[in-house]
Amino acid sequence: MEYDLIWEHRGLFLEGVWTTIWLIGSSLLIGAVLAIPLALFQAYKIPYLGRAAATYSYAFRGTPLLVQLYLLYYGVSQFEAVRESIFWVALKRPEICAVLAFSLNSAAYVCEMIRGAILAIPQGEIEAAQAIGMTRAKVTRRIIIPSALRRALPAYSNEVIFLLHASVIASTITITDILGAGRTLNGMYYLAYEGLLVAAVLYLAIVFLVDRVFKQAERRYLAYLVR
Amino acid sequence: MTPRTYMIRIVWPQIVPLALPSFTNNWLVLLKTTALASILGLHDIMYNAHQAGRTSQEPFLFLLMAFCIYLGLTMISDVGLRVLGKRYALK
Repeated sequence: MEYDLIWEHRGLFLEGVWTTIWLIGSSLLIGAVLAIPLALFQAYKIPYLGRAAATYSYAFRGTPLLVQLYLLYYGVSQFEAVRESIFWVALKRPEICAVLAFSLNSAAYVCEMIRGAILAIPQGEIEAAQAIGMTRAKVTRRIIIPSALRRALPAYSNEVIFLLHASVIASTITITDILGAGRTLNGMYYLAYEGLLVAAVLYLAIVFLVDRVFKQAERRYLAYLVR
Repeated sequence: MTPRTYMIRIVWPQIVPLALPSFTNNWLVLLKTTALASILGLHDIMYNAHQAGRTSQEPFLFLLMAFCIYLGLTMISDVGLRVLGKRYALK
């Protein structure tokens, strides 16, 4: 083990950790914002929109994230119209493509979780809200969404960890995330595994932290469901 | 019953319906994860689509095809495993 080399390049790994964190942080945020309306369309069986949301969710859950990422990064740039449009400044950057692909993928998975959570809400809670005169919109806003988001929490922590693991593919489109930093270090000094080992330890540490945070959040927000 | 027939007639029909949902899940996740092997140079769907897209200058077409193939495989597995689940459903 070349401990000195690793320590010398701690800045590289720090940059990688930062890149990974903002990459999945922003993707999770955008994904969640997209997922809530999609889940509502499906749970309420809104004509056309419900079917469209289900199809979108199935297509993005049924294909590898790598294909989606490559389609956005390599595929879309094939078209002259895209290269000449105002979106090109954003789409030619690998970071933007990665966030976009991860967000769309995450939205598909989270949408399914929230839909399941909405269906798991006891009918009595909704009837009680209607009985005191809440309109459908108000029931949705005050009862269904808060309850569904809480109930989706345990599954959501899996999604966060899943996306963290999946985010390593960002390093294939030249982004220096944690794995990218490890590969750079390996490449610079012809090392076989030092960079990858450090990357593995860093991912492990992040997963451990995420797990702890969600355990705390579950204890707090799902306390009323514990018997 | 001998242990063999006991296994085949009694135990197996009961474990399949219990294990099938998580097996289905695992199957579908692993199916998508195989695309990662292309990064290491395995000539799978993804690798070939990427290379074909590069050489033909039409990456979108070939990657879209890969997208459709994976989606097709998912749908076939979905249907197949659902049929299997129905066959083994506990009455």
